[in-house]
Amino acid sequence: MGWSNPPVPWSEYERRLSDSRRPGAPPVGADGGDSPGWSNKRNEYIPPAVERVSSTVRYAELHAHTNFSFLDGAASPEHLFEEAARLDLHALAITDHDGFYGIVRMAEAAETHPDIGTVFGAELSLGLRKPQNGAADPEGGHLLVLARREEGYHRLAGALTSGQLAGLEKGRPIYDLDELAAQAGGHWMVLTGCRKGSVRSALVGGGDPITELDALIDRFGRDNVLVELYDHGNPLDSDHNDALAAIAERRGIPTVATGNVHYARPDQYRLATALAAVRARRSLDDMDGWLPASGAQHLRSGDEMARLFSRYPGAVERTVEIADDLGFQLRRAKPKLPKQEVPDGHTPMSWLRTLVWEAIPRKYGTITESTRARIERELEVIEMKDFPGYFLIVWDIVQFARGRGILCQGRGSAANSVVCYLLDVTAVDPIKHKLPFERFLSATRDEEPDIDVDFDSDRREEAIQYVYDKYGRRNAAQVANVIQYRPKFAVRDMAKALGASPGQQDAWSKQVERHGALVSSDEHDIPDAVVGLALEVLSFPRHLGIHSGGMVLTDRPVGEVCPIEHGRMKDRTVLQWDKDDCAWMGLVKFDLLGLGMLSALQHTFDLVRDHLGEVWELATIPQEEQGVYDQLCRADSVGVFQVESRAQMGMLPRMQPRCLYDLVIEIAMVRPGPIQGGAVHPYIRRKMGIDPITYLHPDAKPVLERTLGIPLFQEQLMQLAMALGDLDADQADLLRRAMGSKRGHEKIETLERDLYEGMKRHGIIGADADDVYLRIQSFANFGFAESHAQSFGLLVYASAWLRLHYPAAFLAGLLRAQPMGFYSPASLVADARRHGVKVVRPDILRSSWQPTLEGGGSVRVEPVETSPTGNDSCLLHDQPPVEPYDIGAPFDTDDHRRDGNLVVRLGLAEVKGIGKDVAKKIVAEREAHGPYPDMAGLVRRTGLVTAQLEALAAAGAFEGFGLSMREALWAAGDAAQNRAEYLEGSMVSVQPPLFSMPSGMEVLAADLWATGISPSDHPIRYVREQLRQRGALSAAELRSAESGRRIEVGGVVTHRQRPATASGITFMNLEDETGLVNVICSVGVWNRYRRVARDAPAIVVRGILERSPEGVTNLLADRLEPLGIAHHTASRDFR
Amino acid sequence: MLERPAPALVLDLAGDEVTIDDRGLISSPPRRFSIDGRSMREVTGWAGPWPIAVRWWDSASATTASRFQVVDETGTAWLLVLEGGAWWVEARYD
Repeated sequence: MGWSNPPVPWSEYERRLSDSRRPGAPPVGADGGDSPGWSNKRNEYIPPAVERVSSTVRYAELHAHTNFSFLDGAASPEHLFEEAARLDLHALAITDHDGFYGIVRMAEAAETHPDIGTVFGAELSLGLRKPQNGAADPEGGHLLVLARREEGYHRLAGALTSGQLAGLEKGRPIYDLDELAAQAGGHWMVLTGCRKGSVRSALVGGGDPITELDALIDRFGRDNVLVELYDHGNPLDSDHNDALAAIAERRGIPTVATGNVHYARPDQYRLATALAAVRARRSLDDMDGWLPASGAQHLRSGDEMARLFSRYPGAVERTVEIADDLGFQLRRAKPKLPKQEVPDGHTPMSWLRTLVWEAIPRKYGTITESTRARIERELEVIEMKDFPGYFLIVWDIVQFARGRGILCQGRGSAANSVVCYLLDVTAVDPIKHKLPFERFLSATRDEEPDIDVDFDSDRREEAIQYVYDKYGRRNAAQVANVIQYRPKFAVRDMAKALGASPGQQDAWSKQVERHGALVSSDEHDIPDAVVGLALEVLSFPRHLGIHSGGMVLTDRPVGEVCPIEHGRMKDRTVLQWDKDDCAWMGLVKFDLLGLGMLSALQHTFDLVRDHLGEVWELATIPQEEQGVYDQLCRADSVGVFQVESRAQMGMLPRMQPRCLYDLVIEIAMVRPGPIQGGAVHPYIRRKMGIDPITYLHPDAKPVLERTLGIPLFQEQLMQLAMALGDLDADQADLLRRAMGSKRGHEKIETLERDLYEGMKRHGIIGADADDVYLRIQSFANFGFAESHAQSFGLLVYASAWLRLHYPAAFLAGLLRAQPMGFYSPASLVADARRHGVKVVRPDILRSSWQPTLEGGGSVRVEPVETSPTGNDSCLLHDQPPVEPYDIGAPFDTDDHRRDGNLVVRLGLAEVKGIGKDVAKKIVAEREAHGPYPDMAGLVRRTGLVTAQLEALAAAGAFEGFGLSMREALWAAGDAAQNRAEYLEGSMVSVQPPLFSMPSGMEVLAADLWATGISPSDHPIRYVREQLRQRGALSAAELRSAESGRRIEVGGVVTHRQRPATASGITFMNLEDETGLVNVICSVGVWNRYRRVARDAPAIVVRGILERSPEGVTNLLADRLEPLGIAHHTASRDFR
Repeated sequence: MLERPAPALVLDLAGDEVTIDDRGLISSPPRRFSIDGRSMREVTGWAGPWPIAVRWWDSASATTASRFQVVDETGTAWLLVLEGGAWWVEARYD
């Protein structure tokens, strides 16, 4: 088998890459087109079938690196463990460099093979002067440490933490050997290790290995040192092993044989060497001298080891007793939550009860007996599971945020809990919406509760810092995010390793489309060798990032449970585990997420209050206003939370939302699961009255009525099992989780029996019972949490309401909260303009640093209250009932608009080369010392340089000085000489020549260059005549053009998406000066016009116009050609 | 060092040719070997295999092989190589 043989086709690789060990993960090709896409939760580990090679000699591998040794290991922890199982090893130790990065994954795999032990250790890097990326042979020595059971484990984690933190930068831990000895306290086993271990390097380098061995014995204790022997097939290995064995004998220290393993199987040698080249940032040719001579660093069975080490009796067998002495089940190292401070006389539980009962008058007024019983039951479960501390911690964080005016709201399954609702953690009332508590927390479940809270993304950091301050940096840490190899970088790195020139590396990596949308076979000329290696590393961890907002709190220092290291960002410390590792280990994670929409809403509330004097908050917005729904039914939703994407927008006119619950369904429906599960069309047909609404059983009606008989939510699965099968809520939750997982079939069998017995009592037997069971099962995998959809539904309504009534403020809010959402700022502005919002250029005398509002004519920057426009009936808390949607009824957003007297003034920070800090400085200086008299004065007071002045000039920011764009551009170079350090007036200024007015096209080009936003124009306007002459239509004309006709449309490409659910179809969005067009590209058309389809910034599409009766318009492309436009535009592709 | 490697034969106790598997382990220890195809020499000492994988990424020069050092009954040491299933003698240590 040669490496240059034709590789397996991409499609086959993609299938393989959809990790068979963790079924249910998104396919590699999945992109954001499924909006908002797949769950990124790691699925549970399912062991592949392994045929064991039985070994007569027992052996435990005590030195093994995984791919979490980052570029110094070529097998995943799971793969390594599977190979250990295949080879019938007694135990496996994982010893990655300076961390415990991969141990949870291995421990997870190990639980499926309880007969194979697990040992946890690390190879510590000593004497690093800097991070070692880029070195052919990383400097420094190694110390191989194995932890002895939990005590040794916590001590080693602590030592790794202090070493990593002492290093003050990522990738450069600093350990002190004496300190290590103290930290060990006799609870570690130390091996003499590899060629970089002190003993071996003394042996090879002419030092005294005995002295080094004695040093280890002195520090770690005679019983805690082992002399390590390994044989990688190098001619000198035997000599070294002989010498080491002799030394060991002299000191009476036992020897152990290891594989000094860096991958699972021999064939991973190639990948391992390629990774070594990547680490050293050079080609394999240049690395040749440093590479191991052959691929011998794989795992071996006891029998193989016995043959290799027959000269050293006992060295192989001894590994077994060592492993038995050291090993333990990782999950036993699980920590507890920190204790909460509660008022005197209270326990955490009694305090939680007090908070909950005290909230009832405020939240409910009076409550029924059944509500009281429900609350009691929730509290009982919380008490039984000993979780009051968790709820108090979340409550405390939310209280802090509310006190600071930081918008926040719980998401996810926590909205099933009345306790969370009463604590103001979530905004959805589970009583009103009949949401089962057990979906969130059940008496039978071992998992920790999981309350995710969304915060205003601009201010989330305040909440995080509050948690650090309150619990201390040692007991709180942020969760890591394992960054995997992106296809593009995998191709580039592997091309580099194989010796391709930088230009060639770039060319190939560019051919790889973003994320997973891997190059389909005919779309690239990348050599098979590069492709083969690139595909192998795709699932590998590349480095660690910080998870957005996941914090872990523990009673003991977190760093003793999982090592903590520096993040790349200043002042950030992060765990070596990701959220799934933490969850599996039972570390309680608090997700403090940043949500851009909350930030946009807060900005909008602030702007509306400051400029119109109208004060709103999420809770006071008038509910169920017809206009809000009319707007959404027209697919008029650019900028609205969750329902603005192409897929959601296409669904809105079909779903015709007329109440909040319709929005909840819409959010849950446009997902890969329901789309693939075939739930969407039946629902729509029923909703439109085409199909009758039927139920699988009369008793199912109360459960499914709200979704017209189509099961959609996970909560409904539980409720069905309760209503038809008489399961209790805990059993129903068990059933939901058992069905959703691939494991736990024993569990499901008992539940199944109970379910069938229950159904019998309801008269559902035989084929009918099987049918019910199948239906429940079929949506177990794709169902969405109703509680989560409810929480998000509130934000959909709120954002749609603000957009309808305050489109200018909402636009400014969205622009302030960037980056967020589906559309670029340019598209958001273009959409707002089509709704009558006036947007004006940044102005050096008027603009704030960020976008803001201006009343007509006022030159003052501070807000001036302006009179509102529109119909005041919109403000009434009680709105008239929402009528059925009438597509023909007149609807004018102006009737609702209240900020019609305000314009959006772009901020200075968006101008190229200015940015937030400089913009803030310009504004602060102006506010402190008065308006700038001219450009020279601006430079003198702020130190702007020529390029910045030119960008401001191009953006039109100097019109306030009476300077046209061209005059300002001309003057920029001169003005930039007026630096504060030069004498004022010493510059000779030259009278500017007379300039002609720039053409509209030039102004547009300048705007797009300087801010990316045109306040008044669109590139397609300049080719409109050309388009008209060839008979092409505009986006607006498509609304009335005849369906089924072949037409042409030209526009700027704003998005390209290839959802994994759409079997290769690519969706493109075009934008022209009149609106947006959806283009559907079949695989055939895409391939035929690939270059244009993939790369052209603007295109003319010919195709068949399809319009559904509800008014959803798509263009089914049959020909694409590039459209030459003079301006630079950027699309968002395959995100 | 021989000018060019010469074919060799290496046998185990049972008289079967010694081979190496894809995990780098030999079928059984070498006992006798021939470097001229006529006379057999006794193996009195041996070391190896020392596998090498040369420049796998370059199809023009890529090779995989395993080297062995064997000592015959006269005390002469030989460098043998097993490449692509065939034994060669590469050098004699004087």
